[in-house]
Amino acid sequence: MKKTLWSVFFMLLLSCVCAGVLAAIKISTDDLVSLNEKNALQRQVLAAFGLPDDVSKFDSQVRTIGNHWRLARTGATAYSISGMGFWAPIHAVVAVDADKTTILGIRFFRHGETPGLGGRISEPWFMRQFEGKRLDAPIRLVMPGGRKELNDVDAITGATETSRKVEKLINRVKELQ
Amino acid sequence: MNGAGDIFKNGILRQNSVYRQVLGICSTLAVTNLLANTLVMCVALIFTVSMSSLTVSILRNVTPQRIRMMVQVMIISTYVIVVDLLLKAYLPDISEQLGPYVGLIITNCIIMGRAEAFAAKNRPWPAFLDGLAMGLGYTMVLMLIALVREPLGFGTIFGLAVLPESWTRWAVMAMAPGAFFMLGIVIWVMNLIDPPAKEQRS
Repeated sequence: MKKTLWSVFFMLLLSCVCAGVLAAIKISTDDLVSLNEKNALQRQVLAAFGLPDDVSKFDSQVRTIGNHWRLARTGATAYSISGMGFWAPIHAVVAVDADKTTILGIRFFRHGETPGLGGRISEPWFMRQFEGKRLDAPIRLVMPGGRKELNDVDAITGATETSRKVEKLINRVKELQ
Repeated sequence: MNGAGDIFKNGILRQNSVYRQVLGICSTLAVTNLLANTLVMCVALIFTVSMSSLTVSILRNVTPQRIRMMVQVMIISTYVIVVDLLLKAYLPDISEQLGPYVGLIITNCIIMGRAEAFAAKNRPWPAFLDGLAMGLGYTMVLMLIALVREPLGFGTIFGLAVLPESWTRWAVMAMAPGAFFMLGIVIWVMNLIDPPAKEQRS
């Protein structure tokens, strides 16, 4: 009986010590963590607008309105958009010009696509292809090397399913409000 | 065999957790496609295994035998969450890329194994060294695997391009199966260089 009580008491004490340590560290890093998250998102927005990677100038250039961002100088807007990928949701920030006819830039910043295949959607060469694509016609991801129309971009070889999901996602941009 | 030299030789070579005991394979497969991620993962593991071994050893005489597993898991998970919080705060990019694997250090058999096999029976200082040695052994193998996988899979070393643009990336090396091949080769080569002691049959 005494042994059992000691076990319960010991576990309780240890739990309190561990929880206390974790709470202290959590509280002391909370501000830094939320700042990191905010900076990471702002970096993506700046990159989508094609602005230099300098978060300190974010507030002087960009106005945050609800869940989208407006570039004060040109009236261009960036939206946060997400959709299902092959394995997990793909999150992106996409910037369009003031009259919403052309894509200025897109950043796929969080996804769970296959590393080395679908995961290459977050590589600069892939994302750059969407710059200047028009929103009034469908954007297509086509086999690299083939004949390309004005609104076609190169898909990723070996990542057919990811390419299809990205195509779906990108063609939803014009519906964003 | 409690000399520091013996502990290190044991942890890094003779009883190497990855190629000899084949523990911690989940993370070996998952994080070794990029050297930078592998390094952070290894540092996180070294910290967790040595600190939890130390703590388990300090508490070994007051811990009730029947609940020692619970106590060990509690200690290990505390250190893992500490690492996870610190990474989120100070290395957010790498934390994002490692995703759930830092949290999964809790289930890494190396740590629980050392707590049970060594720390619960030895004094704090040797227990700490044993954790350190095991962590270094794990690090050695993972960095070796990553050193092959990153150039072949991405054409880079620590993110710097080392192979020409025309290099065809081996998708298999960027994905988990590449680590299976590499791990198999490592186990084979190490068994040739340093054959394990013959199992005693009674």
